Amino acid sequence: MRSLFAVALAAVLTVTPAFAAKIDLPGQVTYRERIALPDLATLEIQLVDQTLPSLPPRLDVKAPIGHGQVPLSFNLNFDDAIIIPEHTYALIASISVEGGLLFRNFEPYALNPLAPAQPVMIVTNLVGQVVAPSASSAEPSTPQSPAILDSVWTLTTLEGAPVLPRTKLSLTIGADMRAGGSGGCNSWFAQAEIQGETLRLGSITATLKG
Amino acid sequence: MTQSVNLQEGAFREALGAVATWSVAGDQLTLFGADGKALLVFTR
Repeated sequence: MRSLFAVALAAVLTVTPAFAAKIDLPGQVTYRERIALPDLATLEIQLVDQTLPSLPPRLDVKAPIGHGQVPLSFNLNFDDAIIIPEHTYALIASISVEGGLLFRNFEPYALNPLAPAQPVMIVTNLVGQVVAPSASSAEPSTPQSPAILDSVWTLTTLEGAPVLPRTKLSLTIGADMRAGGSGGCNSWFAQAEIQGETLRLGSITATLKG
Repeated sequence: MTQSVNLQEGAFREALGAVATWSVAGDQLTLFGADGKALLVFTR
């Protein structure tokens, strides 16, 4: 089933130049898996400044999907004054259910937000699990430890490239938020901070074998 | 230790320091940077 819905945004600017123009940026979000979205799913579109990735997204819009299924259509509406001409921008699409992330594009969708090449089609990747509603879903849920904790995670891909043969790089984060693992030769350690889906690893120290 | 292993280890630690968000799907952990790019993918 195809369903369309629109995400509209009135960008909040403290000062809007008189010559600012309104930009419409339509697009669609999809994924390849044969999975139906739950009714409570929401779509979030972020326009991020890749020149200054530490800045908050220039736009961050969320909207319920309702009974919609992919491809999901959106339309961002904003003043061109929020775009810095020399910078590069990209879109990140996230589909979540009750705060749990289901899909997101691994590679931000690079585009010129003032003149995007059409069509804008963001293909997202499955990063969470879709849980079918059950009779017990109405019961209060028990808080659970983040799924990232207390596992030995072995690196398979580093910034899109497979790890070198015969090397093992790993990550473990304990419930006490102590993180560490192997860097392939040396061991490393850091303090982790986890809040929801955000993760920050503090200053990393390592042994000096190699 | 070869230079390539050294470089990989350095890139690994640099990527860890740039992590902003995480997601687990089954036995796969993905760590993303602040720009939303997938930096590190792990399995368990």
